[in-house]
Amino acid sequence: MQYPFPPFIDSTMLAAFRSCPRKCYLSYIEHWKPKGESVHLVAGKAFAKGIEEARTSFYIKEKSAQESIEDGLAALLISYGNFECPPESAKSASRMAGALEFYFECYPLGMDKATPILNRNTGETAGIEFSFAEPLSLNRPDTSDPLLYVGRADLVADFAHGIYIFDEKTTSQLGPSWARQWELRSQFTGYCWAARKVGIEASGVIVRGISILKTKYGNMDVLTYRSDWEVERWEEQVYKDILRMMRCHSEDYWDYSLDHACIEYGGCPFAQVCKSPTPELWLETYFTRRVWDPLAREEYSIEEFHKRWGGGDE
Amino acid sequence: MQPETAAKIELWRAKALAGTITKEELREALACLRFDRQNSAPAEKKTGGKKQKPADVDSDALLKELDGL
Repeated sequence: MQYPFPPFIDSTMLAAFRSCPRKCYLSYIEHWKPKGESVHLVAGKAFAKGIEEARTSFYIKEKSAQESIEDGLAALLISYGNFECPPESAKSASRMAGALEFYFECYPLGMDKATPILNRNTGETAGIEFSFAEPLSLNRPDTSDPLLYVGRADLVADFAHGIYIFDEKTTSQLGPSWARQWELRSQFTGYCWAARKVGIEASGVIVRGISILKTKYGNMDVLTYRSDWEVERWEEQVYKDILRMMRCHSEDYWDYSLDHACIEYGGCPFAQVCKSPTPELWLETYFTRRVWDPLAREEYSIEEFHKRWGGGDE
Repeated sequence: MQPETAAKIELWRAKALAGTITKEELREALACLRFDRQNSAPAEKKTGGKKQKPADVDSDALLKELDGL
């Protein structure tokens, strides 16, 4: 049985494909995800939700800074839900709540030099949680609909006489190597590409890093520019990569990396699957099929996902 | 984080999930988090390896050697 080609591409799928096509296939074509939730995803989503809610309360609902951060805290705790943080992780609900308080100590609402951009026509605040779904000049293999490139950036803001896209990242360690990873980061070039598609001339991306350790927090800002030729090159490369993905799909074979990608970032979750002569048994035992919708920032069952996006007559 | 702070946050988390957390409790939670952070012991600065103790230098002896040159 061949699974349908996804209706959209996002930066995470591209990163997976570039790292290991087989990982991309298992994750985003067959939609296998490790059983149990990831503390990093739960905590990151809750943190983003908290900041979004605080900004919305302050800039749109025009509440006081104090009230807005309270709203953000409530949203963070609700988003974290009943998830039980593993004991070895620093990303517990209480530590994430502390990270939110720390974030607004570093970037106080009302004094933060980065302010959400306004809608040119209505004058209303528009820059909070910039979601995009831009059609590409490629159609989905199974329908005549254009393939979409999708994503969601935390904030588009006026800052230092320019427009910048802001992205918050939580990490366990800041420092020079953390800062260096953003200079060519495809996710951010994609943000700039998408912003320019809708007429927002973003000069670059500012990454606000918040380190979360068991006993302290830290912060670091990194500014990374994207010039026109970088954005053009990115677009060209994305098309080449998607065409390769489509070829893998039509041939029903996705290459294995069988190298560094298997052990990077704590190890590929499919390492044991690829090591096994009966991968399907590993998948059925240790994985479940769920689909991450990057625009909704929610996970769905395969059926729910195809209802939302169409396709997928399995 | 102080265990008391973490325990209080857990209570407030449960209330937030139940939809019963009040504005006053959220205010208290933020104040609690701020106090906890401001009063946390700073993390011990770690270095790459054991610090070398500087060798004891007998400066008088060195000066005498120079005089003898």
